[in-house]
Amino acid sequence: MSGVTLKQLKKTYNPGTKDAFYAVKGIDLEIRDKEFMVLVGPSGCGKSTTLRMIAGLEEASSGDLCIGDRRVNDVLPKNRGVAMVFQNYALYPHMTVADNMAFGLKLRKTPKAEIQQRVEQAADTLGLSSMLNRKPKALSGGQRQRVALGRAIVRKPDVFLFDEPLSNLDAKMRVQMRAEISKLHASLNATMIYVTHDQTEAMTMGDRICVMKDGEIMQVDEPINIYRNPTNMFTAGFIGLPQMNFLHGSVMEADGGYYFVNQATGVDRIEFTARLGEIARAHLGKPLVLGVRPEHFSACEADDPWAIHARVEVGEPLGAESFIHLSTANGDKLVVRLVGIVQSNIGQSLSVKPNLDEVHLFDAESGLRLEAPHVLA
Amino acid sequence: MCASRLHFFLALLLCKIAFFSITVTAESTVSIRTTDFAPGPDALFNIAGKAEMAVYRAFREKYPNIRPEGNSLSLKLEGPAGEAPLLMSIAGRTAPDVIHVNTRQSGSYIGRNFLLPLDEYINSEQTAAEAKELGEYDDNTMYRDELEERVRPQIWDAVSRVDSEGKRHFYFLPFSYFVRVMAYNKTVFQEAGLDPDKDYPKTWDELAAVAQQIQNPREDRYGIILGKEGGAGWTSLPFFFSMGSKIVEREEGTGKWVARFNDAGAVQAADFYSRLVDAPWTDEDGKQRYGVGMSSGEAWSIWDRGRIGMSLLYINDILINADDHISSMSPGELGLVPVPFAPSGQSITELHVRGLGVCATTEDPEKIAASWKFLRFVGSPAAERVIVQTYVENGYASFINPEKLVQHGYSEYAATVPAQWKHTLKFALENSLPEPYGENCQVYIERASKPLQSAFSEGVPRITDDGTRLARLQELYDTAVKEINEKMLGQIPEDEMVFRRKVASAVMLLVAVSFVLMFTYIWRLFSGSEGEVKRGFFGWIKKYWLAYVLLAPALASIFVFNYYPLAVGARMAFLDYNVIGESTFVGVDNFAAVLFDSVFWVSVLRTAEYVFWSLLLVFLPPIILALCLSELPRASVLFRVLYYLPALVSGLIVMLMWKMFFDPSEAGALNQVLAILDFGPQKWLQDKSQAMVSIIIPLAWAGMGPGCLIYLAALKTVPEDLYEASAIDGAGFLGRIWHITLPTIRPLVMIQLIFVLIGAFQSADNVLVMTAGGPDHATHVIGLEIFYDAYVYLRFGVAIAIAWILGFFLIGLTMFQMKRISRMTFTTAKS
Ligand SMILES: Nc1ncnc2c1ncn2[C@@H]1O[C@H](COP(=O)(O)OP(=O)(O)OP(=O)(O)O)[C@@H](O)[C@H]1O
Ligand SMILES: [Mg+2]
Repeated sequence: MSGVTLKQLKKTYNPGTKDAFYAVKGIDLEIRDKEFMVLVGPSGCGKSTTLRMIAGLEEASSGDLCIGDRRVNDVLPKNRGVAMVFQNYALYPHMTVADNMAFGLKLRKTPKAEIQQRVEQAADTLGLSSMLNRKPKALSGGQRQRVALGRAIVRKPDVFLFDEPLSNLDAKMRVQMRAEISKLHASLNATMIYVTHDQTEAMTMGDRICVMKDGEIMQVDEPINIYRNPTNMFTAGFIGLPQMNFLHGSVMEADGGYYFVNQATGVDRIEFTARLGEIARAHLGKPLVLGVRPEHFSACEADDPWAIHARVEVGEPLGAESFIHLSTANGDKLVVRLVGIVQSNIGQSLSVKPNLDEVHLFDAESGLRLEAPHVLA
Repeated sequence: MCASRLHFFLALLLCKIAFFSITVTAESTVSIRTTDFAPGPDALFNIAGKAEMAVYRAFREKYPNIRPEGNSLSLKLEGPAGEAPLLMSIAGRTAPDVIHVNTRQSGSYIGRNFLLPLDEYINSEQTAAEAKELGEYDDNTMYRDELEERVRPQIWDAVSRVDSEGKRHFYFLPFSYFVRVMAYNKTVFQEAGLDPDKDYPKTWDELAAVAQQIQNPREDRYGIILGKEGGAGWTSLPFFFSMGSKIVEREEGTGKWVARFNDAGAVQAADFYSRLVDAPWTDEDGKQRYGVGMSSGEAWSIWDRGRIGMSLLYINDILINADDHISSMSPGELGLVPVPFAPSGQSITELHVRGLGVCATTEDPEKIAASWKFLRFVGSPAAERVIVQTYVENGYASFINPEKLVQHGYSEYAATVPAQWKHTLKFALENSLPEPYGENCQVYIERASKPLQSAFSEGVPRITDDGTRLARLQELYDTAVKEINEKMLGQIPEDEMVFRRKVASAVMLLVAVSFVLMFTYIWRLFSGSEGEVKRGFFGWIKKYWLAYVLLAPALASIFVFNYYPLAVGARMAFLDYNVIGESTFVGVDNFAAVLFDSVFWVSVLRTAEYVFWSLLLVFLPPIILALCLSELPRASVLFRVLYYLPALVSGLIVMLMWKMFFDPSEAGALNQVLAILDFGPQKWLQDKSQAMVSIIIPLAWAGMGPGCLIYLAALKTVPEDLYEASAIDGAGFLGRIWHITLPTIRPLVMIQLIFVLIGAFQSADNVLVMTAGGPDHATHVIGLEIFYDAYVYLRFGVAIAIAWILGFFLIGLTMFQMKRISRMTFTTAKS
């Protein structure tokens, strides 16, 4: 049993001074045993700080940190049963690959034979067997990161911690390593906490994703849930590429139906479905935000009742799909994804309509989603 | 502004050229440079300087066309090293035309051809009257009668040499005679219950008794000043002379100088002297005491305070209180008597003669002629009159040799000089022998203290049984004499010499082979890699010509200033090198001399000690300090600045500053600090066991900051996540330093280590400044031995031989260093 539990965990840098900075603002998170938890969030949101507190490299300002059922706030890093893989590999430059991997075991006075066996096994798994006697300098970036992985593996820790381990690698290498780490997770059966700001990594690797912002947790859920049911505008905007479109406006009632209207002009009236009308009814006239993912738009005739009129700013035909950047009359920017190659000229006017089954309504002030969660079809 | 300055300088230049041409065209004015009797700062401050200036002025009056100028030997060194600057200037051909010569140096100067024979100007065969009779009289020549007046019979052999054809050549003329006498403080005598006019010691027995009666450390009163360390040999000289010991003697057959200070009289003198210093006795209170003298470094300052009864010091044939330590004592306080009579029934003291000679590097006949006039004048009765007059006019009449007062027309003052002083001076001048003056006799001064020092450290004077004590002393002196004869005279039996040459050849071969190996090794390290494309000579020239053109000045200067001297030096190792005149080829004898010289091996040992302390105090602390500072979360900039500040003080100043801190008296800066901590005063540089460390401490102090900064800079390059990774891997504080920090800065540590090691092996300058190798060779490192051999004993060949051996010691280090350097890569930007 070695889940990791954070209870009201806080980190304040330079507490009590005018430079005081609240990097982590009292978060609660329960990472289950053998789970692959991904921490994502924009730069500076406190992911690394959280991870480093778990590792023991940073002292928690308050709150409880438990690994398994042991409170480890005051336990030295080496005694927490964790291993960490750093973004810059942090390999010992003067030691060979083998020595790098064996270092932790040697310090723990593990018998020589066992060290050798574990190192060889790890090297075998990671395809490093032929490089055991090289120094890190003589390795490529991917190989170095594998050594760093190996160094973590041989220790057989309860919890693996990764701090953006792939961000120094090129795209292809990243894809490959991503798969390897996932495979490792499957075979090692250990708890892994993985920090990244790359949502592809988050979506593909995590059992669950924890989205953070400004030292707070925005949402914790399985990747698909996060994608389909973001509980707030931040998560909705953060996960998904290109970003979800946000149309600002309010809902008004007319002719027994509900319409979403752009406040400034009142032109693009979008008639709501019954489901949306149901939710919107309680918020008539209030500033709301309509969230639509780019793939939930489709091109339509200009006089379509749900049409939104806009001008093309940039077209990005990618082959299987095309991303078109649009700007509406009141200045809202939209990105829509259309299937196939769609030719478009800059300045050309284009009408698109959202798939109203897939849109979300947010309260513009709190950023929280208004509707009840979808039931997965 | 700038232009007007330029005009000013041009005008100045023109003036100078004009002036110069006048001096040249005037033809009659000759400038000579001299070590003595030239205008200098002394003329302002002390009476001796004033007198010299007066003589200078009188000379200028007499010979307006000769202009003596001071010399520029600004470097002043301690002990025997004091003679080095002049020797260096002779070697460098920048020596003055007229040089100071004293008895002790004369043999070496003459032997090394530093002095021009004065044959042209001295006629020792005829008197002036005889010459006039024959019509051969020349005003510019010094005839026998004048010579006899000026050169006392004891030193006839010191100032001249008889060549193989029996002709006598003179090399220098004395201008002043100093004799050692016994000074005593009448007030101290009275305090000790002695009658100063009657109870002064006349014999050795009385000396011991009187000194013992005065000696009372509890009342801060001591019997007599006695050298115990390096000065012992010199202080005790009159006792040896009085016992009839020859000290050194010219061997009949060979004409070589041989040490004889182990004869029977000598050992008795040494016994008496050493017992004065350290014989056990019981005072009135039944307290056990040793010795009746004061030998510490502060002895003279205690004397100046008026707390010591007796001392042996120089008086001058003109000025009785020439010595600073009696110059301010009145006739009522100061007693001057001859050194006490020895059991042999004699009282013979040491005569120290100062004179001037013409330096052999002077070649211009006009300058030689002018120099002769100068040195003849400054020792002449006319000059003496000027000196006496100056002293009298400055109120020193009562300190002047009464005979001279009468002679120069100041008889009215003669009565003011105490009769005792007058008799003492006369007696001493008549009963004195010159200090050793044979070739290489400076070595005597250095070595003669050794048996005494050994005796003191073994506690020989404390042995009560006369037989045992004398026997041991005899042994010590025999050994010392044997050694000195080897070093001074190369007096080694033939079969022994054959053996030594064999050993020396073997060692030389080893040295040569290892140098060749090292050069091939370095050559291979640096010659290009094999992967290089062969492009033929012209292709190569075409590609790299510019590089070689640019390199040429650097290469040329390295060859001219490094390799050429190296080659010349290599040759010198096989010569008995003479700065002036012929050098003879001596094969491996220089190496033999080095390898079988105990002092050389002592210096090897001292160097090892020096290296050890350097590692401990210079090399290690910056590393530790840097590690600590890098751990420091706050205020580290403050500490860095604090530790770096000393580095802003330049090297020599650091040394001199610390030399002051190391003042062994209670007033010394460090001793005051110790006093606060309730420790007694330490002798630092003057204590054999502390001297070496004391030399290194300033280096450590000055080197800490810069060394530490280099490491700190390197420590900054250690990525933070390495520390974090190691913390998770399980490394503690020490583990982190050992496994992460040290390996990262290791290349730097190695390079620093090599620098410190090589620097330590070669060190000489700082030791010279601090202790000049003393006390008793306790800091006599190899570098210093080279310096002494070259510039004090003028054994350049031997010095170079030692340098080669030192180089041999450093080969390993050099190879290592080269290997490191060869691994560094230098790249140019590729276009
Ligand atoms: N030692 C420190 N002192 C003060 N503030 C700090 C310190 N370390 C981090 N911070 C601040 O804490 C915040 C969170 O830092 P953290 O490294 O956890 O961000 P992150 O989410 O890992 O970002 P990134 O994706 O860029 O790595 C940042 O705004 C950072 O400026
Ligand atoms: Mg981070």
